[in-house]
Amino acid sequence: METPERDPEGERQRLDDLDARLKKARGPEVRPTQDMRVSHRETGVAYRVLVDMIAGLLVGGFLGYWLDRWQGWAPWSLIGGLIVGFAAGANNAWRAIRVYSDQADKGGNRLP
Amino acid sequence: MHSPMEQFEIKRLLNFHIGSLDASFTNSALWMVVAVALATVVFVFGMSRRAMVPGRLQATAELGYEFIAGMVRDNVGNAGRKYFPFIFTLFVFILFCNLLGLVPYAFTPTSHIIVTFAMALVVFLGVTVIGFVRHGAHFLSFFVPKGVPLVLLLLLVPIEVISYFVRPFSLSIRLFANMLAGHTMLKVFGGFVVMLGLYAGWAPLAFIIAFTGLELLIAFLQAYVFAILTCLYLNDAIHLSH
Repeated sequence: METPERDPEGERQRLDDLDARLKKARGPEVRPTQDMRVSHRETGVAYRVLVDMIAGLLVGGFLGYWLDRWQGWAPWSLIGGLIVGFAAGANNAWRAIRVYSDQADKGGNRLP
Repeated sequence: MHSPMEQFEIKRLLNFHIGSLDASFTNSALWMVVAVALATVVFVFGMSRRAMVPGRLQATAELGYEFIAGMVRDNVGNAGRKYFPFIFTLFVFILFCNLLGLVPYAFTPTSHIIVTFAMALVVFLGVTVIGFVRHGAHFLSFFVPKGVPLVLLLLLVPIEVISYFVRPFSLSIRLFANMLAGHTMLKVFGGFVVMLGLYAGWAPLAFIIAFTGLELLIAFLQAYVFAILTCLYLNDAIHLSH
């Protein structure tokens, strides 16, 4: 039977001991939430980059097409527009990635 | 059976015509009004008691406020503080439109590119005007990369200019495409449930339940992405940073 007046010091030691044993049983500490967050962030960046590049192509292509119709330079301004649009999309994508990698270097956890 | 795209159909609820302009009140407009009304209710009622220990509604309102305030502070700095009301309104409006769209029989205004493009265009024009007001003609130096030989500038300046003009398109396509794809997917799998019937219909039903959870995440994430990109564009215009 337990005595009504407990020893607080012994109680704490017992808890510390239990904590240590639990830690040992669980093995080395891993943080899955951290990894989840990183992979989530990377998915977000990947989506952004994808849309940036597609939008670049669309805008460049549309501008070139419109210039073709207007000036009758077919198909040269469409070709030029697609190339410049692709470069613009890649430029935007590159910028998004650079912001992200700067933050990763700083160890920040923010989504770009 | 209905086609999966039928949910995006615009229907006129009240007919208005101003001259040749068709200004009818549509289901899209109705759900935008619902989103605005509900957001107003959440924030006005939530903050009406101003309790020291917030209740559920007040905690929601405060959480949203702090979240966007922190985003503006981190991404634009102190100069962005006066644009906080705009970014907060934009975020809340998109979030409520996205979330309400997940309610069965509701309509999702943000699944229409004209809605998202209008918002993106407001952001784009506003940011450009802010840039010119703050920096005058010096704002044009934003399009000229530093430390590049003159010959290359002939090639790089058009690319920079087009990159700038791509912004409203990528901003609006991102939101609209996510909403459109998610809702179509839900509808397609809903059709599978009906087709497979009582015996095999459970599998797509389970998928729909899981996918609705993902859609909730996407509804929030896309509102977040729209707001944070607005912050980044604003930061470019205010600080002229590449």
